[in-house]
Amino acid sequence: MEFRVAFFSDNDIRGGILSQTLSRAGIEAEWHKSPLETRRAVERQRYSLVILDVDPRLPSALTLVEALAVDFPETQLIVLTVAFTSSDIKSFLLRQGNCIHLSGPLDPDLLLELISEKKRDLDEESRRGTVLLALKQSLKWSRRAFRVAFPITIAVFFGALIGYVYWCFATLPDLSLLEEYSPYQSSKLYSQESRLLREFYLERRTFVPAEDIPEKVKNALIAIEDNNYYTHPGIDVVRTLSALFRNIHAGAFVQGGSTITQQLAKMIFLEPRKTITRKIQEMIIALKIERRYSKDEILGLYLNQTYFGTRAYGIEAASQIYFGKPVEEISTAEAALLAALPKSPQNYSPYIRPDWSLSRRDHVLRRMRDKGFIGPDEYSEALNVDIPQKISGARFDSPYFVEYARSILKERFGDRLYVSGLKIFSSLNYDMQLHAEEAVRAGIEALNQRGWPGVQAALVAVEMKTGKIRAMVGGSNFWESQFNRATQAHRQPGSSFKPIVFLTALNMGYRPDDLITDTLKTYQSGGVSWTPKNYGNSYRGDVTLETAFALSLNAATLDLARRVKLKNIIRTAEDLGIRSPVRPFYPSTIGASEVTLLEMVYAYLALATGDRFEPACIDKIIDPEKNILLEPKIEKETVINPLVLRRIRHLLRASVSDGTARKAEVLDRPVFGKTGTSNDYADAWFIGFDDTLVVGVWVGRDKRIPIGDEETGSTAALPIWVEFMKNF
Amino acid sequence: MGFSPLAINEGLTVVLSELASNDFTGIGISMGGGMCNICFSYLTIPVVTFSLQKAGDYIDQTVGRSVGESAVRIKKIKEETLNLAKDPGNRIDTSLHIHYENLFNTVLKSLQKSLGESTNIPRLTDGVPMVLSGGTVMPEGSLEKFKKIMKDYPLPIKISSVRVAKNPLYTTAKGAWMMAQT
Repeated sequence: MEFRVAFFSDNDIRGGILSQTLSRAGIEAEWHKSPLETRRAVERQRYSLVILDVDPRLPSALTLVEALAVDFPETQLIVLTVAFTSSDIKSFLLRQGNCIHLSGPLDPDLLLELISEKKRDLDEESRRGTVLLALKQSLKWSRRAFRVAFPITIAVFFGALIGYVYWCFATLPDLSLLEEYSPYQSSKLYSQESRLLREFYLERRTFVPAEDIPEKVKNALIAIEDNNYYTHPGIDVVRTLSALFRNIHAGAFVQGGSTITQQLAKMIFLEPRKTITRKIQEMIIALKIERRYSKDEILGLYLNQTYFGTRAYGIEAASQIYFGKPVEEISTAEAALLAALPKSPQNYSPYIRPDWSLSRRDHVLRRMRDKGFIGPDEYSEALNVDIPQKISGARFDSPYFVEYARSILKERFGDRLYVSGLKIFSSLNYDMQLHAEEAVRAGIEALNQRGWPGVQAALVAVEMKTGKIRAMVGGSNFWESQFNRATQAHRQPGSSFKPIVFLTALNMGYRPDDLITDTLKTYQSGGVSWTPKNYGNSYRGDVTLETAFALSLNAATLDLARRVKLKNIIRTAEDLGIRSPVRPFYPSTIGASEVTLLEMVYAYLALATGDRFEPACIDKIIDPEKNILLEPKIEKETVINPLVLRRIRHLLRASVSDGTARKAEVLDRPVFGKTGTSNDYADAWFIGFDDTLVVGVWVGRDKRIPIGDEETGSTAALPIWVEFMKNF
Repeated sequence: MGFSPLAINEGLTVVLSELASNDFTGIGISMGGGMCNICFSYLTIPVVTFSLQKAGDYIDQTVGRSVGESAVRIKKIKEETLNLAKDPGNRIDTSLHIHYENLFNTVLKSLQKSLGESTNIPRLTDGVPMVLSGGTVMPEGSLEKFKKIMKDYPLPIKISSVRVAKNPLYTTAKGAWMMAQT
């Protein structure tokens, strides 16, 4: 039989090492770089040996290992993992007859040794197959077949029996896995003030040391799951026999006799399938666990590992999900409800079957009273406590910002985000966020009252000194629409784009008091004639740049754009950080090319400071070992020289003091900015700044139809901006 | 022109040029004018590579600034008379000694950190050789100084030998040429 080898690695370096190691040893092996490609190749080629170099924290990698191990038992697998292999995967690999697991650094010598051993085994098997075939032939024709077959049958029977007992022991997993126990841990996103915003998880789980779990929780569990927990050695013989008789009598599995220790053994080391072998192994492992660990340590492991329903693994996550508080703060009634769940999280869920849940919770309380864990008064009091009716924390604060941060983190960390137990400190200022949400709510409410329902609004606030996002609102209601209008909606910025045209002119040496022409004029753009009109259809002839800017005169802006050339305006937009394409047609100069609010706010940040910043929403990331994994530096580049910066700020100030944004003068400090309104009043903008914050507001509808009659940047967006800014 | 350019770390070119007899496994360090480029290669695979923006020019400029001489003059002294194995005879030599030590410390500290942090390094039973190359290691005594400083930075892989490349000024070109041949 041909010995065919393949390997999977999505890490170019480790894959390269494997490839070179095998090739140098004269072993031809195909390298597959994706799990899907590997699976398909194994299906097609039926390799003798497949080496899987996987990161065990990634679900896709685990799925590949499990799929190949189960679906292709005839293929030998060598699974290579770096550190942090969870006990779940280790115990799974141990159970598979066709898997060898090597963790830690790649060991080329050991790997080659294993491969040649497997090759020898395969050759041997092949030879044995040939011999067996010959033997069968000879027996078939032998007249002494019966005399030979009988003793062989007896020998095989006893051999198999001894082998089975030996196998039960031999295939027991290594208990030291418990010491390396490292379940998946959720990552947590915090605000700037360390307020928890959101957990990211596949299995929601937060590890709590055994000593920090309250006694009432441990007592509740013992009362309902294992009455003699502190006296039995890991298995409760009386209870097991009683369960056995009851099951035989009922003719079905009606009672389980497993102790907490047995349940832990089953959860961590064994398959859930109910077989005699598994039951025997479960008992042996339980006895071994009891010899090695204290009762309290075992309880801690159990409570951290077990599933409580609603995607909550472990007692802390369950406490947070069902009661919205840490386990150390829960009451007796709440502890009893949590202890009621592991037996059947679905059936006893307070959300799915509240009557069953309440009845079992009360049963736990009764057992606690009978065992003397609680007194009669505490018992009566606990019975009167209601069970929870809705999932705590299903909704979360600052949802648009949280989802924006999550998408950035997912891009950087991939699936590791959900399993690595990271503490992520974001740049969000929670107080500022509340003010932003309130300002948007008030703005939408005002539009409703003016007779324009169904309008959306977005707001982004960025700190000038650091370039970090301090507040973000992406729409009027995240729970109705998750589309983030601050980062995902590409909308026409209208006149709020004009500062980019004027900055281009200032860069080329124009001054705010230079004259340009404000007259009705037709332009040829992209083969089409176009005549830009001013708001109100009035034209002023020769005007200064300052007046044209403050009054947002379209005709004058086009005259300036013609003078400074479109290509230079597009380059200026790029310099300020606009990534959306600015189309090379004249209408772009008065805001016809779509951009996002976030892009515009960062462009205005450059207009405020002279520096282009990269959007940033993360302050620091800490791993479970408390190492700082990431602490991004402020990334900025000076794009406007100081003289031009002074002049563009002067224009943006004039727009507030003498122009379309006069409403912002109600603030008791100098502010700068520009309004914007797109064609047909479909988008209303105001982007502006004081000496600490740059804030942008967009108002519009998801469908590009008018907000309402003559709702402009000045009437729809600016009031939200002012409402927000007056808090600081 | 029909060529397909391929960028490789200079440290790897040192390995390709100097460590053929060791199956292209070992550490190559190229210390040129502007940068130090370091690579730990296993059977031609660049397992750990990194660069430092500190090398010969940095020594010339900082020594020049500290003793009030031009960097060009320092470079000339460095290339013609410097002997790092002997005690410094004057203030320029003293300053060169200090800044060479500083450079070697930086290289070795970074190497220790990079190797320590990598999860890709294979388990090796034998030690691997290390080769220094580039104009900056040409002054007499630089190998001895490097080896002496190396004792302060135990590395997570065993080093079997440390030597200077046969022809430090051409090592990189030869390695790049070898890579192009493949």
